[in-house]
Amino acid sequence: MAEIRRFSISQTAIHALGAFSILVLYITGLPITFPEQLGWIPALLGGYPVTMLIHRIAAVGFIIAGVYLVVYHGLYDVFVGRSYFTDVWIKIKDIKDAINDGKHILRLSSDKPPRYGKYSWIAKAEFWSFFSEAAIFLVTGSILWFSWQFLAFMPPQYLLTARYIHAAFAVVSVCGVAFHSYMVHFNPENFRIDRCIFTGFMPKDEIKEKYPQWYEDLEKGDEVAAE
Amino acid sequence: MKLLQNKIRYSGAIVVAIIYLSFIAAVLKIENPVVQIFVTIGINIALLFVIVNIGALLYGIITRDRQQAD
Repeated sequence: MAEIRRFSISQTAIHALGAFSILVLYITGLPITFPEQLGWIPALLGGYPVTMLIHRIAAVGFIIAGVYLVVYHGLYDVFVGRSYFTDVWIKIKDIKDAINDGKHILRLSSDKPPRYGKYSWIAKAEFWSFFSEAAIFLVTGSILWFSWQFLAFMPPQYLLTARYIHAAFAVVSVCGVAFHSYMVHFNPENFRIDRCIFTGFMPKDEIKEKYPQWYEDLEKGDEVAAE
Repeated sequence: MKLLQNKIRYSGAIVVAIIYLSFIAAVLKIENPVVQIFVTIGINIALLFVIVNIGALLYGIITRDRQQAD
């Protein structure tokens, strides 16, 4: 069966490192926010100091993935052209698609469902929400990690605020991951696992069914492979 | 097949809903003991979800070349 490259090697690598890091960050970070419910995890890992050490090692992995994404794809976009950022940028069509999808779910429209391009509005919304959450984690996490240095020019209550923001967004982010997991594991189309993000390729038939607009662009020859 | 697909879809949606509700209840710090049991179960399910995701991620990475060869 003919397959088309959907994700570049760079994208699959960033996903692997970023996803692994953030999942470890959840496992080691959530017990700090919910010690009553998840106190068994630090006990299993050898105490809170070990848990925090693993949390910080995973944070370094997450930062590397984030910096690589921004620097490599950002520079590619500016100097070479058409990177991942070009494809995931939110357009007016995405807002229209979201409204039309909403109408379909609520059975308010009998029109045909939206024809998705390479990335649907859901994929773009997921990407930008994770991206903005990652930026918040980076700022608040740095303040918490280097708290003594920050205390030199920052009142202590700012630290407490940073801690609350860090924990609150972690909970929001876990909810986002739960949704993402539902889409890639429990959605009958992808059950048990959507392998595209690992291989980078997607069967042409699947593209035709799920992303008709992208398929049309590919057929016309308008689609240029993005790095 | 359709029935199985619907079962997967709805059971997945219920699990995600339990996670969301338990986090909301935890953030609101509801004192009711029944709610607290629900919160404990929900947050542990969320963590189980995260662990399953790590498994799925590693499975996908390890079997990547095999799938390409297929």
